[in-house]
Amino acid sequence: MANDSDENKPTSTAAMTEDDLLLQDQQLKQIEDEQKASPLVGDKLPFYALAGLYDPVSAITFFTKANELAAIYSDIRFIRGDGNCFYRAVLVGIVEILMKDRERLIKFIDTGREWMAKLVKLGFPDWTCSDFCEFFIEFLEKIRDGKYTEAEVFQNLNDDGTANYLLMYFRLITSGFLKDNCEEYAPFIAEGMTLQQYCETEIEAMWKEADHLSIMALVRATGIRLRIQYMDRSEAPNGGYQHDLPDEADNVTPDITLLYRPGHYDLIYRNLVAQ
Amino acid sequence: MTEQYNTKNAGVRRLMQEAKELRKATEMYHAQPMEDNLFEWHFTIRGTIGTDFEGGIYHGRIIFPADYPMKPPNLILLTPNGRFELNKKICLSISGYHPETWLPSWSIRTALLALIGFLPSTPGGALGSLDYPPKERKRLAKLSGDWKCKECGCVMKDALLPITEDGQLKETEEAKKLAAQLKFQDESVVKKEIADANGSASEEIQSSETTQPETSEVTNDSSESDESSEESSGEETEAEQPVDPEPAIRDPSPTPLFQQPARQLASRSFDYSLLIKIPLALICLAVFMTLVARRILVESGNSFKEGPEL
Repeated sequence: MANDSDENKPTSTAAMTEDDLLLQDQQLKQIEDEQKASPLVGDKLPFYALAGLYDPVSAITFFTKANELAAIYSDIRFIRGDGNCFYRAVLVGIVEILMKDRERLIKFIDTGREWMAKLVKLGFPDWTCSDFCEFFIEFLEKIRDGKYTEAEVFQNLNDDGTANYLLMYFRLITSGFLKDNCEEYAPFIAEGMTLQQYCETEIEAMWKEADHLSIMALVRATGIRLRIQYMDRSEAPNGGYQHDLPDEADNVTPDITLLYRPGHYDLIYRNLVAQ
Repeated sequence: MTEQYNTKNAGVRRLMQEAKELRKATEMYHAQPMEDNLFEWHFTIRGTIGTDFEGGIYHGRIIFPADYPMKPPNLILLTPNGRFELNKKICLSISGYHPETWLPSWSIRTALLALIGFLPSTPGGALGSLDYPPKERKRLAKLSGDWKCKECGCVMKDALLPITEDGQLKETEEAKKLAAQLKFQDESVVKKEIADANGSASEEIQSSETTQPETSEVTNDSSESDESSEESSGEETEAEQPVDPEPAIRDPSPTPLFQQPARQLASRSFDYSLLIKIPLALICLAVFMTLVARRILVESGNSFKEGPEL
């Protein structure tokens, strides 16, 4: 169906609105194609790859910062910028941890089951939500049972259909966490929207970027310790370079570190040799 | 069908599960995939009691995008109903918010129930919507029982379970609730709104367009309802679909999308001042002709008279 516009192009009458629709179709498709040109989850690259993205003359601040960060971080995994990057970075980060830590993996499967029951109780559409949860749990179980090699795991994380299905689990528990703690978080929702509406339109819908509230909710729902490394000094809430979540976890080694550049998250790894 | 698709694919898995869920017809809805295509389904829904659609049973197609359920399915109505144009894709989204909002946790059942609940809503001149008078809708509802799908051969009156009071009540409630939150729109409207939201560069065209659908709808509706009431006992499909219905059904995705807007454009660009200009021109022409004719007659009469004198 995505080819409709192309096929119809020659036959369309020269009406403005139709041309316009076609143009928009093409523009939207082009944006999508551009996004799809980069993998959902990139390979682990040396952190210097980041500095390579910036011109040392015209983008001197970013270039310098990227080089400064390279002293602390050794690797980077670029995540596709399709609005899901935060959730996807966390998904990949967690799967990487779970592949190495069997005990945690088993615990995470259990929490997955608990979430599944909780979501139904919270009034999420019954079998579709359970289906997303089950899909994620099955994926983890296959890792547990050694049915996937590491390469296969990343193959799955890079397949649009599978990866987005796995990602939905994270969107659902983010939303579930906020709904479960409605009283605490309702005051943070912008006026004119209920928490329920916010969850549906901003979290449960695909391709919607995560904001501070959903980031915090996902961190709490998964129980991970997350560090966000800001590439732009002014973007950090504490005036520093980085922000740790949950708040009380300051100065504890984080499980996952994300690099935030305005509007986008990538997954980064600390330089273990330097520590 | 199972062998044909990669069952490891999450979307395929999901669609198969939904097909299983919906295998048995209920009193209000039924939907099943086509035999040769898991990504195209046919559905049947019942109009709710106490509305213009009471007693009506309507059939249609569901077209799934390759990345369903991440992207929404498109619904297409095939049975004349007086609320939605036939053979046009309509999209489901959360009303009042971002137009592209579809939740992957919604299912075909959600979409069908929302459509049932959405049928009696006021179209308000929306593109792809019809605003037929209640009488006409009721008439179409009555006739729908004998309507037969050319593609899957299912006849409406046998497509759903016979209706019972409690059964309908429960699902009608759910349908109403869903319809309050969700809405169906013509595909082109949705696309336009998405483009608007994305701050696309085509602003001037947008503004000229947004003002126009209402007028175009009015002209469309009136012409179509006239037609259908004239052929009151005739074939309903033809009545609602003056522009060759056959190929649209056979080859659905490209044709209805671009043929129909063309039909609308004709009426959209209609210049109402022509209604005055053309008669005026005709009258002027008539007067001119009479004058010329008289002149000729008079002249020839004169010459006739003058003839013998010379």
